[in-house]
This record gives sequence, structure tokens and C-alpha cells, in this order.
Amino acid sequence: MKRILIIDDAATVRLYHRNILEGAGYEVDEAVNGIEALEKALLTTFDMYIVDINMPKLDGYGFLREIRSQEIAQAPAIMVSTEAETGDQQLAYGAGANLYLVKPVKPDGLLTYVRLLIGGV
Amino acid sequence: MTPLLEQFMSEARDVLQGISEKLMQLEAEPNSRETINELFRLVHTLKGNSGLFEFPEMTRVLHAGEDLMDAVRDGRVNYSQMLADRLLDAMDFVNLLLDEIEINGEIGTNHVQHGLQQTELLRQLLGTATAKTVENSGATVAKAVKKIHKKLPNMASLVALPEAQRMALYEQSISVNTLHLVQYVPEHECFFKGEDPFFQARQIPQTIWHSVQAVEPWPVMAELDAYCCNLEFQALTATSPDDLYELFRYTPEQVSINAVPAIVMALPSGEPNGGPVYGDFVVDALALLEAGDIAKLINVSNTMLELHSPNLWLSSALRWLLLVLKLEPNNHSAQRILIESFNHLVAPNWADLTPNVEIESLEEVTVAATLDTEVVTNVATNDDSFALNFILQAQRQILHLPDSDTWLVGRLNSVAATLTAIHINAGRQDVLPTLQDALAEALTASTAAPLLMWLDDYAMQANTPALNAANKVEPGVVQGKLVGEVLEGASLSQNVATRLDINQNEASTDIDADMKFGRRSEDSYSAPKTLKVDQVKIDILMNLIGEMVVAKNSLPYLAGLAETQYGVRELGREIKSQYAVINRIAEEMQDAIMQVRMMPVSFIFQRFPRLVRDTSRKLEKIVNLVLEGEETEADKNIVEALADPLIHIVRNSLDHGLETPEVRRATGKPEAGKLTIRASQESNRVYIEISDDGKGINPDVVKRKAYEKGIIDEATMERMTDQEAVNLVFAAGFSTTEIISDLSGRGVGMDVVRSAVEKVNGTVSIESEVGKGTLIRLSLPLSMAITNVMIVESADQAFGVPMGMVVETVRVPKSNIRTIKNHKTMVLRGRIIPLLSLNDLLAVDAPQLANENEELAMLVVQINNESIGILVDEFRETVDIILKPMTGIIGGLGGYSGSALLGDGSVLMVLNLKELF
Repeated sequence: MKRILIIDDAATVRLYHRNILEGAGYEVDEAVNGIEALEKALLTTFDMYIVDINMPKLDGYGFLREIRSQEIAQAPAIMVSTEAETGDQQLAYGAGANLYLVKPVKPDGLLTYVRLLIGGV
Repeated sequence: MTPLLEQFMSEARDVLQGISEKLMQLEAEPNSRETINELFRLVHTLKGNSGLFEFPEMTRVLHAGEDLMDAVRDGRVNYSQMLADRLLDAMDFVNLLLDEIEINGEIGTNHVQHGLQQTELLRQLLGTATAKTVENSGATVAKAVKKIHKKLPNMASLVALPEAQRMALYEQSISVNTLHLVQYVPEHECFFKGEDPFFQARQIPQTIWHSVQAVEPWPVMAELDAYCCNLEFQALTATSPDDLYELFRYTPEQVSINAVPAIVMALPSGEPNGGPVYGDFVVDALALLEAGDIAKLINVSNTMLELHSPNLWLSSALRWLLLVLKLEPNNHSAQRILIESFNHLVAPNWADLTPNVEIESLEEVTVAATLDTEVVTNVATNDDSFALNFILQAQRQILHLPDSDTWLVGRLNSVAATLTAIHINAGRQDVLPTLQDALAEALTASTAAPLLMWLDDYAMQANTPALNAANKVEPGVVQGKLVGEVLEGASLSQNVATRLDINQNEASTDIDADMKFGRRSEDSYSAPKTLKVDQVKIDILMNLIGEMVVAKNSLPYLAGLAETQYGVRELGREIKSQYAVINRIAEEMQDAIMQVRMMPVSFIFQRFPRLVRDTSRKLEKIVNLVLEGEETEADKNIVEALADPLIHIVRNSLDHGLETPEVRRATGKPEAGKLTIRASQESNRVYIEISDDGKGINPDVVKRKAYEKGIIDEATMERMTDQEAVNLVFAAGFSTTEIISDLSGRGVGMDVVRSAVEKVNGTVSIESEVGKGTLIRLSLPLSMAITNVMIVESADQAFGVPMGMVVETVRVPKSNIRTIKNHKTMVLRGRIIPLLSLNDLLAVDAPQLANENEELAMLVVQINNESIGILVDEFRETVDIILKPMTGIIGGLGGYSGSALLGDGSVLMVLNLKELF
């Protein structure tokens, strides 16, 4: 089963994404900040990461830089942010994201990207 | 309420609480970077969350708050008292909206104005950059649109409108964009829901252009389902999106409303005059445009216009060109397209324009269109080819980044993994070997170039069948259908898709194997460690364990029965030993469930900083609040029951206890008053102490007041001790302020506090010293679900007395009882204790029975800080019971706090001694 790690400090956003992804049959795990996400990424192989930017302790950029530079994971990472500024997008790509989407990502849209990036369930 | 909304609500409350806490902290140390960052993050989180729902008022205010905090974070705006005030007000507003959502499930329309005010107040603090952003409340959402390529329908039939009218519309919407395209696809089963799509579509005001078409090709007559709606309505209107959303408020998901660039009006029309013969003009005009010599271009066009009859197609096109040059001087692509149309005398299909023109314009206008854009996102991303292109584009962008980053290898690998995945999913495994080569080359050379080159090659190949099919699809075709067609075109039928998934699985396994730290996903899986459980479920558990505790009480009774009635002592003993086991388990279970219900008192403490701050400011007092023992835990019901009494006490202290800075200075105290709220736990009670260093309670004033109000008579007043006098503040109908203040007054006094605390089996006491301050102490049980009572007998009946009140039990020789002034008393360890007979209290006409030694059973209880002896006939054991409050007719019966079921099935009435006196 395809496993996706949702990294967001907002429980509501995590639940929102979880509902969408679990509804489509993906397995979902959550982390509330970059540090927790790193711990999980070290222990478990995920097929995809959905990463928020602004988080306490370690933000989304930091998390991505870490998994890319330490070569912990090369699975696709979607960075999700509330800001649509190109600057943020550049930063996200620079840090190691493969896609940059703007919240709220509509369920259909998210599933399309996930399906294209890691396939169906 | 959906679970998602519930989650949102509870998180939102937490975050709001966090925001006010952080603001309080910031007040203490306005320069703390950490606090400012944290504050920004909280507002940001809340805004992001609210964006998941349709709460525009909330999102708007929060967005302003976020921008403001962002500015504070960047040092563009300085933190100030006013800023904190406004932010707090805004958060109060959000809280209000949350309340409304909790009650009604949605936000009423009556908050729009208030919300705009709040937003404006926040924006004002932002200073300069306001004007633009104020209007653009849904900026983040709107901005999202720029990434989405939304096809417009071909509106060539607009040409039927007179040119003058179109020009007027064009001019109008250049300055204020008013043009919106409504695309309305009713549900198939809409007729069964009482909708009338045709009527609905005709309600669209100020329609400029419209079309109705079939969503799917009409089936043959034999298969046609006349009750299945298969229509799509499109209308171009000059109405504001607000009105449109109002019109479609019941079916927002079926409608997309998009701002349309004004340029769609620019459709030349007229007599073709035999065909295109203006080749030279086109070349010249294009050259002038290229060179930026607009003045000359206008000149040439004007001359051309004068030379030709105004009815010609050419003249019409020239008029449009001149108009566009005048009103949209920078829209070169539109100008070029108009000029090029001279070549074939066909009006440009603006819908097919290069993405540049369309997207720029879309972005520009959707800024004003606030939240409309959500719908756009929805439709646009439905399209696989769009998503594919988007992903490819992103990878290209990533590869274009400088190669200098230390994590280049990780980045290249992840891009390759992403590219691999989407190619597998698009059925293009054939290109993978070349991708592998490119990746290897890139890794060796430490540069993204080989992958970029591969991407360029690939992109050209990818543009054949699947992606191109999507681009060529007729405008106006519903997207869902479009995806189907595209997939079919690329022979991605269901079977193939399934097969691809298998391939994908294999591929990703390979990737896993390559990974340095690749551990199997089964190695460990940690689920979230906290559960959110509905309180009702815990209550059910609590009730069940309560019943269990009571039910187990029947076992000793059964054991006794076995011994005495059936004469089987062995069985009795076995039942007893079994009872010990069950008793232990039940107690542990009860403990465990109680632990679940425990919550820290910080839950109510956390609102005090704000309360104290606002109140003291209103009263122009300076108050330092000290909170201690916030981590102390008690049952949820107890903690919740504490909230109102505590607020009342704190308000009282602020209002009546603590003095103004001037008064304090005059009496030699520090200007800032100190208010301490301390929670602590001792055995199974929680103590909350609220103390201030204010002026204290003057017993003389209290006495006089109580006398004036007729609460005490003169004789009582004379002999009252100071402590007794201070206790008078708890008397019903007592309030010490002369003026009923806005804060604590309201005609209710400490008596309300007392009854609220007593309702949960708590007690409240007060100590005060004039000039020094006041201390109010609340004592509360840890839990209220299970009560330990002592059973006493009187007049052949059993009664329960809560153990919390019982100080001791004493056998008193009848001879030791004295009668003073018609009151029975006795001396117990050097103290005089008033005695009351339970029979008297219950109005039973019988003397209390003494035992064979002529001793009476006396229960010493503590009531209002006084020891009182209650004479009963006999003491019995103590039991755990669940106290059921009395309801119905006997609900109004005083003297009892409730009833409970005993192990032998009998009913025990539990006395409320306080009410008996």
C-alpha cells in the first residue's frame, strides 16, 4: 500500500489531507513538525511527503533540505503553502520539493497529483 | 458537524487561546523575536485552517491579522499597545464566528460589515500597502489562479452585439473589471431536487452572452433519459461575483465564476470586402509594434481608417486596435493578435490566446474576485494533462536552480524519482532507460544539465498524443469528460491503468532498494499518540464504572446472606475473597477512567491574563497577575464548574479589592497590585486560592450593610466576630458595592459563587485583613461522579452523609450533653460544639435512641467552617455511591442532595446537611 507522510502543525489541515488521501485508499501517517517528520522518515520509507512550510522547531524547508542532503528519501515531496508568491516557490524547489501547491488544495486536484506522482493505491 | 469541522473548531479555540497568551507575553517583553514568530505562526495556522472552509469573513480578518504579524515580524511595523488591542478584538470577532458555527453550523450574513471593519482596523496599522490589499481579501486564494490555465469558451458569437456596445463594455471593464463568465453545470439528478436549471440560468443578471450545450453527447433516442440533466450553461455577465454567488448559493459546487479579461470584447466585424489585401500594413504595423513606436502605429492606423469605409471589417479591426492601444498600451500580445487578424479577416478567438495574455489578465482581475477562485482551482486541476504539465514544469524549474547547493545529489535523485513516477503513470515506461542514463550523467558531473536536456527531449515527445489532445479540446467541454477523452486517446483504458499500477509498484521497489537509508515501511509504524474522544463516550464509561462500583457492593451483602440466612459460611467467605478481587479491579478501573477525565486547571486559568488585563485597564488599575499550579488536574466537570465562580472572584478582586495606583501610593503600597491565583492538590481535594494585596474587607462595613439589608438583626450584629462578619459576603442578597459596577456588580454577589461551588460538593472560605488584602479559598473534590458517603440510621431509616463533611464520629454519654439557652451543646476536647438531632432536623417526632451504655451516636460535621454535632441513632459503614440528583416532583425537595442505589437494592437518601439548618 502506498504510504504518505503529512507534515503540518495544524491538526485541521492534517485531518483534511488525511481524509482525502485515506478516502482514496492511501495509507497516511502524520508529523506535527519537521523534527518529528525526520524521525519518521528515518524509520520508515514513505512514497510521498506532503509538507507544510511554516512549522515550529523545524520548518518545511529545513525538513526537505535535510532529507535531500542526507539522502534519507528521494520520494516526491509536495510542498503546500498558503502563500502563492514565486519567492516561496523558488525556496521550496531549492529546498528539495518536487511540487508546490497552494492551500487549500482541492481534493480532486490533490489526488490527481498524488496519483500521477506515486500511482494509485 | 463533520469531523473535519469539529477538528477545526477545537484547534481554532486552542490557537485563539494561544494567540491571546502570546500577546500577553509580548506585552511583558515586546521585543521577543521568538514570541513574535510564534504569534505569526499561530495566526497563519488559523488562517490556513479557515481557508479549508467557506468562512470568508473569518479568513478575511485572519488574513489581515497574518499580514500585520508578518509586518511586525519583518520589522516593518512596530509592536504597540494598539496593535495588541486590535488584534485581540479581531480574535474576539473570530471567536464570535466560531460560536456561531458551533450553534448554526455556518456563519450568518450579518457579520460581513463587522468583519470588514475589523479587517480595515488591522490593515490601517499596516500603513502604506493597504489600499490594494484591503480590496483583495482573498489574495492568497486569488493568487493561486495565476498558475492555472483556464480555457475560456469560444465567445465568437459575441460579435452579434453592436460594436459600440462591446466597446463600451470593454472600456468599462478595463477600469473596473466587471466581466465574469459563469459556467453552470447542474447535477444530472437536479430535477429530482426541485431545481430548475434553466430558470436559474436565466436569473443571471446583465447577461451579455450565453450558450447552452450538452455536457455529454446526446444518446440515441431509445436510451435518452429525459429526467437526466445533461446541460451546461455559460453566460458572460457584467454583474459582480457577489451577486452571482448569492444567486447560486445553494449549488456553489456546480458553478464556476471567473473573471474574464476585457479583451474578449475585441471582435472586429463588418464587410470583408473581398478578402485580405492588407499584407503590407500588417508587416509595417507589426514592425512598429515591435520597435515600440506606438505613436507612429496610431498614426498609420488612423490614416488607414480614414481611407476605408467604416462598414468594412478592416475598419472595425482598426477601431479596436486603436482602442486597445489607448486603453491597454502594454498588452502587446493582444495588439499583435489584432494586427495579425488582418491577414485572414477572422476575429481572434481570445480563448485560444497564448497563455500569457490570458493568465496575466486573469491574475489581474481575479484579485478583485476574492474567493471565487476556489471553484476555478477545482475545475482546472481536474485535468490530468494540466497536472502532468504542471509537474513537468516544476521539475524543469527545480533543475534550473543553481547546482551549488550541497544537497544537489538528493535533489537530482528526487527529480529523477518524480520523473520516473509520472512517466510510469502516463504509460511512458519506454523513456525510462534514457532517464536513467541522464541521471547517471548528471550525478557524475554534479550538474542538472543532462536531466534538463533529457527533459527537453522528453517534453517534445510527451506533447504527442496525450498532452496535445488536452490542449486542443474544444472550449466549454466539461473537464471530467475531457479527462476521459484524453485517457482514451492515450489508450489509458482501465485495464492499462491497472497494469501500470503494478509496474509502478515494481519501479518504486527498485527505488527503495537504491536508497541509502531505505528501510522497509513495515519496520515501524507509529500511530498518533493522542486520541480525541467525544466526551459523551467517556461519560458513558464513567456511568458504567459507577454502576459497576455499586453493583459490586452487593457482594458483601450476598456473602452476609450466605452466612446468616443459608448457613454456608464457606461460600460466604469465598464470595468475600472474590469481592476483594473485583473491588480492586473496579477501583483501578475507576481510577483509570477518572484519569481520562482529568484536565489541568490551566484550561480556565489561561483566560485570566486577558481578563485581568482588559479589566484592570478599564478600571485604570495596574495589576500583576501571578498564576501558580496550573498543571493541577481535576475532573473535567469540576474544572468547568470552576470557571464562572473564578471569573466572578477575580473580577471582585479587581473591582473592589485592588486599589487604584494613586490610592496604593498614598497607603505606601507598590503601585501595581498583585493578584495571585494558585491551584494545588491535597489528597483527593483540589484547592484554588485567589489572593490579592488590596484593601481587604472591612468587617464593620459588611456588618452594617448586612444589617441594613435585613440579613442580620441588631443583636447578631453586636456579637459577631470579624471572621463571621466577613463570611457575610456569602449571604444571599449581599453585595458590598454602593454602585453596581459594569464588572462584578450585576446584582449578584459571592452567594452565587458559593452555591456554584457547593453544587459540585466544594466549599469556599474567605480570609481578609483590612488594608492587607483578601484570600478566597475554594476546596473541591477531584471528581464528582462517585461519592463516598457514610450511612447513618435515624428513626429506623438509613441516610447517607457525604464523607467530605464528616470530621469524626463520637459516642457521647447522654450525661455529657448540656442545654444552653434551649440549645443542646457539649464540650468536645475543650471546644463547645452545638448539637442537633437528626430527627429534629427531619421533623421526625422521636427522640434519638441511645445504646445500652446510654451513649448517643454523634457525627461531627464541618459546615461553613464550624463544627456541628449531629445526633443520630447509629453509624454504619461507608460506601461508594453514584449520587443521582433528585428529579421530577421530589426535585424541589430541600435537605437532600440526591439518592443512590445500594448493593441490596434499597434506595439511600443522601442528606444535604447545609440545607437542613
